[in-house]
Amino acid sequence: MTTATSDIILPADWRDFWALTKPRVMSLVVFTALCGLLAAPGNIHPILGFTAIMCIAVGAGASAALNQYWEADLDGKMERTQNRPLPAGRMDRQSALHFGIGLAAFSVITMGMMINWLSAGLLAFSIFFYAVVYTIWLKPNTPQNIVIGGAAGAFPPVIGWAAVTGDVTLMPIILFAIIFLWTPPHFWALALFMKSDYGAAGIPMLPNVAGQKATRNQIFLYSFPMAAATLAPLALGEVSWVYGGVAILLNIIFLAMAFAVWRNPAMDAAGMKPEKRLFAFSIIYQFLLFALFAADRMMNL
Amino acid sequence: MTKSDPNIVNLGDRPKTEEPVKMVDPYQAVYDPSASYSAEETALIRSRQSSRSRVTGILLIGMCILFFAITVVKIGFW
Repeated sequence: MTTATSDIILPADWRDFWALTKPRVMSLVVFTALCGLLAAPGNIHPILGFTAIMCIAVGAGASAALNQYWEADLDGKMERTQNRPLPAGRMDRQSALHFGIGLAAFSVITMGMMINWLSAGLLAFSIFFYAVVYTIWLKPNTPQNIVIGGAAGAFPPVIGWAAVTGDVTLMPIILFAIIFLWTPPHFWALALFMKSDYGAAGIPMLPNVAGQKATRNQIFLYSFPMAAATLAPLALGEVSWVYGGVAILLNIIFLAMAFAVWRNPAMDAAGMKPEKRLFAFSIIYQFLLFALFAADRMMNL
Repeated sequence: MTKSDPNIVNLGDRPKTEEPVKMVDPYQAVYDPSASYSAEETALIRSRQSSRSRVTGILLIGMCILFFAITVVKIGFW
């Protein structure tokens, strides 16, 4: 565990280990997992509920650490990521690997022993999917990387649900589908205005491979099944019209923003305000939808 | 990794009179706790180690409390 400064080698700071877990990404994971846990039928003791969410958060941190271990060289080529602990030289790769494996083992074993083995199995699979299937296989090889890789980020509400019920029914699968279909428009909007960054690292994101027009088409097209998935709980009678009304409103805004992206002819980042707006709104969109879904289910609105 | 690896810069291997080294490859660097350091370097390393130890200690105490609470919940006392 080392750090390179101008004149001395130091052990990595604990803040660097914390940064390795991508805390901002982890916060969204924790939130969607909590919503899945709260929306599930049945009860879980608050201590066990806290433990389940902690395990999901630690598992997400493990995935992030393993991802950064593998992508240290790529991260060093991108402006957005070059100050992360590994490319900045504040930590050696082996520490990141050991940290990631340690966190993964701790989260899965604790989840299995304290909650149930179904949620532990799903957690283990989601870590494997992100760290191996997405990071090693999909990301450097196909422009569909974030479409298939989006599955890794879609697992937390399913795991939260399974922690309470011990099974996986249609509703958690719908929650999975919402995040899975939300991921492409969300990340492709980012990829459009970060195109040069991804290009410099040689990552085949859709804008670099298929072009900006094709990416904008895909963003707009993916927004429709995503909107349909968010309304599926209403169609199935699992939530009230309070959720349904707000979901419809949010979807209208999302589709309008996706339409603005579709119509935007800008080729450089400076002219990509619609893409930046869509990226920012997509985070709020998911936050509000999941919060409302959980509140609706808890309060039987 | 071995000490003969030319990419490894080990602070403990250099005489104290030399100019400070810069790491060639931070990914491959090895920190050797048994090496001798100057007072300044030792203070820097110790402060980094103690901050890490404090955080580890806090996390371990938190884990102990959590696991105790889980046990109480599991045996049905709460």
